Amino acid sequence: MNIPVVENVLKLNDEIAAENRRTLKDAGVVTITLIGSPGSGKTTLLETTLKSLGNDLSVGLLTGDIATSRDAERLAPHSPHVAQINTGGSCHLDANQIKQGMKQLPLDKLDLLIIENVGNLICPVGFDLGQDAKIGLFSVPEGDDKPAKHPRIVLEASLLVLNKIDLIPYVSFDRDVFYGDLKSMREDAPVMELSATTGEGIDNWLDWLRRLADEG
Amino acid sequence: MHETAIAASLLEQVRQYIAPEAVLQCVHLQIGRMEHLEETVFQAAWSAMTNDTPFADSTLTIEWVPILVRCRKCQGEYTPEDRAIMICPKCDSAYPEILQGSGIILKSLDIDIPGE
Ligand SMILES: Nc1nc2c(ncn2[C@@H]2O[C@H](COP(=O)(O)OP(=O)(O)OP(=O)(O)O)[C@@H](O)[C@H]2O)c(=O)[nH]1
Ligand SMILES: [Mg+2]
Ligand SMILES: [Zn+2]
Ligand SMILES: [Zn+2]
Repeated sequence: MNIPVVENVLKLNDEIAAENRRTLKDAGVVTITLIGSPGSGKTTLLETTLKSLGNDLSVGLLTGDIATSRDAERLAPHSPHVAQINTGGSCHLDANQIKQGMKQLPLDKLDLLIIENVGNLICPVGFDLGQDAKIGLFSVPEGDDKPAKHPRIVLEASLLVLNKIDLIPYVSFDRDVFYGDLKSMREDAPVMELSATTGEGIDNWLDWLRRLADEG
Repeated sequence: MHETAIAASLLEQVRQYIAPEAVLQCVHLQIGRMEHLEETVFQAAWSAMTNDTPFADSTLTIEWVPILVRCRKCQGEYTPEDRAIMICPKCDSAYPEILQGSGIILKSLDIDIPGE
């Protein structure tokens, strides 16, 4: 006997994500998720962002790692609204973890919520968390071929960031390859180059964040 | 691995449809080619997940759905030969809108009711 079902396997996750999205919208919070490989500079970019934003925006942070609260400890000096989520082995954050994390933050005091996903360019892309925008973070020392190897984030991201451009003189990173591959996947892919450590290009990034927060 | 998380989600979902007296034989899934899922890893995750459950002997069959793209420039539809090369064969540009090829869908379940 065959029982027809036709149901999304991630239905439960998607339902919680939709609930998160509603809660955040009602609280007036614009939410982004940062997705990038381990060590691409997600936490560093957030540290620089918090230092440079000043009092313009009130930012909350949820940071996901398999283990340790090191990223939350790095961010805590720059914002009173930081919570760590440990996934206990899972390669991605899911909507329920965000729902629990949101309870630790004063949502009505926030303009912007930034989620740092588990370091991984692949797995987090398929799990909706309730964010308004996904940011794909690449970095120079990872190599110029990373967009070609990760098409889904290229197609789905609201913004792609190329970090660590201060290292371009020292590694064999060919911008023609990087942009050429992007062009054959998504010609109008929005890309921003920056260095989270030297601060080069950070102003563009801050403007982008401010604009997003305004529109939301 | 996210295959485990997806298998866990599937198991919860399957439980809702299977009466205690029924024996689950086969789970039919439809998975888009855009999804980051590896068939052997997913099969292994399902076996591990169901090991201590009444569904331990069930099998998974996966129907892979090809990617279908609409070009936002010329409106032509095409199936890219590679996920990383989305260039439209008609106008040679890459402004893809994914029409089909994402999603993980539980289509149906084959069950047996002993004694019927
Ligand atoms: N040269 C240079 N180094 C950078 C830059 N951004 C980050 N780094 C360095 O890269 C290393 C990893 O940075 P993190 O910010 O911890 O990376 P992450 O993506 O948060 O890593 P996980 O959370 O473990 O996935 C650190 O040593 C940073 O100092 C940059 O723009 N230029
Ligand atoms: Mg980090
Ligand atoms: Zn995974
Ligand atoms: Zn076209």
